[in-house]
Amino acid sequence: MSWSAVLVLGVGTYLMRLVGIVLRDRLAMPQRVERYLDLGATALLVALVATATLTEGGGFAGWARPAGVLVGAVAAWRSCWWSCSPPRPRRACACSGSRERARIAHDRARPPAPLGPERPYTSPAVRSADSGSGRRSRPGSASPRWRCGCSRSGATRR
Amino acid sequence: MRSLTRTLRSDDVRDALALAAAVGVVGASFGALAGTAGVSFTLMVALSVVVFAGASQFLVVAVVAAGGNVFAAVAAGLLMNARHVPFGLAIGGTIADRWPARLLGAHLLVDETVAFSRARGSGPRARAAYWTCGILLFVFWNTGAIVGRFAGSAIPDPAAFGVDAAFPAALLALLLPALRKADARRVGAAAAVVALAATPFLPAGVPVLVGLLGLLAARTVRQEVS
Repeated sequence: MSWSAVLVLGVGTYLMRLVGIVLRDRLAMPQRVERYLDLGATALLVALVATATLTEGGGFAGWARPAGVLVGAVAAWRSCWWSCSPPRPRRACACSGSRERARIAHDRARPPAPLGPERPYTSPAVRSADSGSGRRSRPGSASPRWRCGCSRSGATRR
Repeated sequence: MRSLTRTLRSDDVRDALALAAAVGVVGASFGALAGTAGVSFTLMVALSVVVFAGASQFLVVAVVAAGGNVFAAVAAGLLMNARHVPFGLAIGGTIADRWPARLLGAHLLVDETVAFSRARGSGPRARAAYWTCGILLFVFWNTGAIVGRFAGSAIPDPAAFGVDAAFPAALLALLLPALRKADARRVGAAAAVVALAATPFLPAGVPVLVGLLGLLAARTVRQEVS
């Protein structure tokens, strides 16, 4: 081990770090190439993880290390999944699925009505008494524009 | 720098500190290994500060400890560090806008900083994360090496700590956001398979580079989409 070896390794490593950064600055990259560069970094890192997990000195590293990595990865995946896409609280409603489908079908069937001034809520009984005069289709009317298939109110759990 | 500290998020700093602490433990085992290999203290510190690439440092010192050819070891270390070129290409825009800062930031380019920064996109948050992670890793790595050198044989093998598993796990955790995209998943899977298949036949570090062949999987995905 000598100073020249340290310097050669250090300077060589630094130059390789710099080359990529300089090239990135000097060359105008089309978006397609940028995507490949990004994917290339992912490929290298995944290859690094795979070889560091499973191999040691050209052979299999044994089961202890992959098991540890697996546990860590599952823990990370769960926390990542939870913060990236938490389960929707809406699903807690018993009939939310059919209501959701009804709502989507309604939204597809007609363009959204412009919002009018707020009106007090009228119960279905009052509404059925009032209906027949075209009131239901008026924009801004407080009547629900979609309904689920089930008979219950929707807030209860089966 | 001032804008960096402004965009810095406390949870990013916390994560970087956790990563740097693990790096410090590995640095300590490197210092202990360098001590038993008979590398002098100043040379060990110089290697750690100037090279700052853990895997190649371990490789060189292990070859020296086994009485191997130093120049072959340096060549192998350089080959191992060749992956920094594509890393620089991928992350070059994130590091800095001005050249003095880029020259400084280039030295902090290691696997962990690349993964840590990429997990936070490519905007100001990624830049702040890059510098935070890089500076903390640099400090912890070199401090750990010096501590390990003095503690000597009191530092056990890194495998005893489970640090050997902690590193791939941490990198994998940092990669998870990137792997949410289907093409990245396919490229990653192909890269892992190719690298693992090449490991028994190639010297250390080269299988990772061979993993770039996984990009072929991206091409087919693109053609399917368009």
